[in-house]
Amino acid sequence: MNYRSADTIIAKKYAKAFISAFPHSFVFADLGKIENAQKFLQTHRRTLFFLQLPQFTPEIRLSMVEDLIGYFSLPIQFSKIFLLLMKHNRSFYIPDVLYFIMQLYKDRMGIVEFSVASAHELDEKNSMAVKRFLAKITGKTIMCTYSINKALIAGMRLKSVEHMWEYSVRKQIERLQALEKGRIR
Amino acid sequence: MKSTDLISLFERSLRDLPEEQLQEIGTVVRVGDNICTVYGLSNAMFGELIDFEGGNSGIIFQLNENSVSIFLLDREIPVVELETAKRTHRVFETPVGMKLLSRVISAEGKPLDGAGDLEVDGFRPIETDIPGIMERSPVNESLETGILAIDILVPIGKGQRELIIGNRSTGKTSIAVDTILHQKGKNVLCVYVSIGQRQANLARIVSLLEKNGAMEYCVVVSAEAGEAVLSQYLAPYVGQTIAEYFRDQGRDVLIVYDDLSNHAIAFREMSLLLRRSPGREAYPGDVFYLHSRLLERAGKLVKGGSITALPIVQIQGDDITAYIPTNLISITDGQIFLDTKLFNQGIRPAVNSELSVSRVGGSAQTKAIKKMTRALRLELAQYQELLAFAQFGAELDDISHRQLERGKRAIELLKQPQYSTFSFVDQALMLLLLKEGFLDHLLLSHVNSFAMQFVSYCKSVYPDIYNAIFQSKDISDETSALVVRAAKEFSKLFVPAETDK
Repeated sequence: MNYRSADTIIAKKYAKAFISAFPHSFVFADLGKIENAQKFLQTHRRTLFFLQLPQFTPEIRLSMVEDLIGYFSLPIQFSKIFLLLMKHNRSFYIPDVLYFIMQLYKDRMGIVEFSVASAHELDEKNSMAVKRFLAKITGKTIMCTYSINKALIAGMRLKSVEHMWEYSVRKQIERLQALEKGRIR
Repeated sequence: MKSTDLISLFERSLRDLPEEQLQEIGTVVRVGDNICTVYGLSNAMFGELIDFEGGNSGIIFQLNENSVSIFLLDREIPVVELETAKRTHRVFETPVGMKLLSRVISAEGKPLDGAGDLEVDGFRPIETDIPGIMERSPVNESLETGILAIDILVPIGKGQRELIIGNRSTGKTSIAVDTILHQKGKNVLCVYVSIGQRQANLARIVSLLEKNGAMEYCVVVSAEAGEAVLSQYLAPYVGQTIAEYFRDQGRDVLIVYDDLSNHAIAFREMSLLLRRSPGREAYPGDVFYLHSRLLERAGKLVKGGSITALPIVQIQGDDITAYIPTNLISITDGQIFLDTKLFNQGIRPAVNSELSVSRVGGSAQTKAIKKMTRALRLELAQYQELLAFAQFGAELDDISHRQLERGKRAIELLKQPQYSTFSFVDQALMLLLLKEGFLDHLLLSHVNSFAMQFVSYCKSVYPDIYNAIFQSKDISDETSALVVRAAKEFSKLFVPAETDK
């Protein structure tokens, strides 16, 4: 994800336009495919450079985009946004636009992604309890990714882009340190 | 962790205010120049205090479409990219309490004097509502500065905002410090806010206040030149909040901002770092509001208590038409203009009587002073005019010559050494000497010692006269006659000191 504010604003606008123009172009199951494409293009930016080369005719460009769409099994409507960005010499925005398309879709569908970091591995029952808790507290559908973070000592940290819930020994130690230094009251 | 423990923990969290348990966060995407950009925090408020995972905190100064710009409070604690920033749902607060008196604190509310932890009564947000029209009382009570030139020419009332303006090294801080020293035993608490000054300067002022026993009724808020620009921006608001706490206890408070030019420069730096459009002299468009919202918080309240503000502003090359000075002149209720030429001529305090003005202080002047000064301003103006005329070598008639001599003595009388202040009775007695012509026959070098010796003569030989003026705050015709008689008596006794010759 590109955090440069001017770029993110432009990318977000393209994503909004795409979602408005093709509201039913993809379903929840396609999110994984879009994410794969986004991650690939984010890390292989040379691909984007090739898409923008002026030597290629529109026909060649179209076939390149179709290959890309086919490779990641993306819905065909995505070729429209890719071609539009290439036409505007903004093919470098494609990963950001894909990111925002996913975000906007998730917002619209009430889906929130949480990364669950725990000091120890969670069993199935605990994982379900976490999901139920998050669903109840946010009122949204929850998608979770799990990881182990020994630095927490004990407990867990549930984190999305905009929210965080933490109950860990590390947090309590940090709080005590802050109290001692007078940073918090 | 057992699943039953986890479930009970979640249930407890849901039961006890779940919205407080789920923190709103953002991610640091850019850090530099003590400012950082945080992605997210979409519900954050302008001015909200933000905590960083690494222990630092900051204040939101700009809300963008996808991010917020935050100024960091601590330069020592690093903030790194992708660090988590958490909302606190509160604005920056400063400690307040009566036990802050005699302490030197930083803009962040930390003690700087090595006298241990602060004992506070509470915390208050630094940006508060300005008292409304109905809550305010007119300025009708005098706040003595103890400086003759100011108390008679540009009198200050409790609740007034009087700007001290002048070039560098013209005695601006000295006037403010003298005024603080003069408040001893007058039931006025003082707050001295040092903004962007050298630490050595502040140390000198603090030791001076300590030596004169003024720290007992004084709080010093310091944001020295080497500190973060945010501290310099916050310092006057912190000082004002402390002053408001004292005022709310029904006390009269004097607050000195030394100086607001540095405050404006700090704000300009912050605005430029935030990439706000620069306006005149590269200041942002809202620099007027920066100072107006601060100084409007001063005033006298109907329910009791007042805040008198003495903002200081430095100008360059006697140019009072620069952006910040003109803003402050229009915000305040008058200004004391300190003139470099007068200062270099040895006239100290170098108050320029023509450019100095007090818009509301006149009504707060005691009757005794009012009576004595009625004609003085005019006399001084005539003297300045005649002086310019006399420089051309023109022959002057007797009346003009007398006016010139009287003017010279008036100027001489207004000279006052630093750290020595006069009560209004002393001032009234001195002015009566001038008015009745007792100084006319003296050599210029004897004027000051004559006036000062006469005051102490009156105090010791005629305490009844002195007390009568002090209690009635007026000089009746009978008292005036008695003073004249005492002055005649003293004229015969007066022997100038060796140094005056």
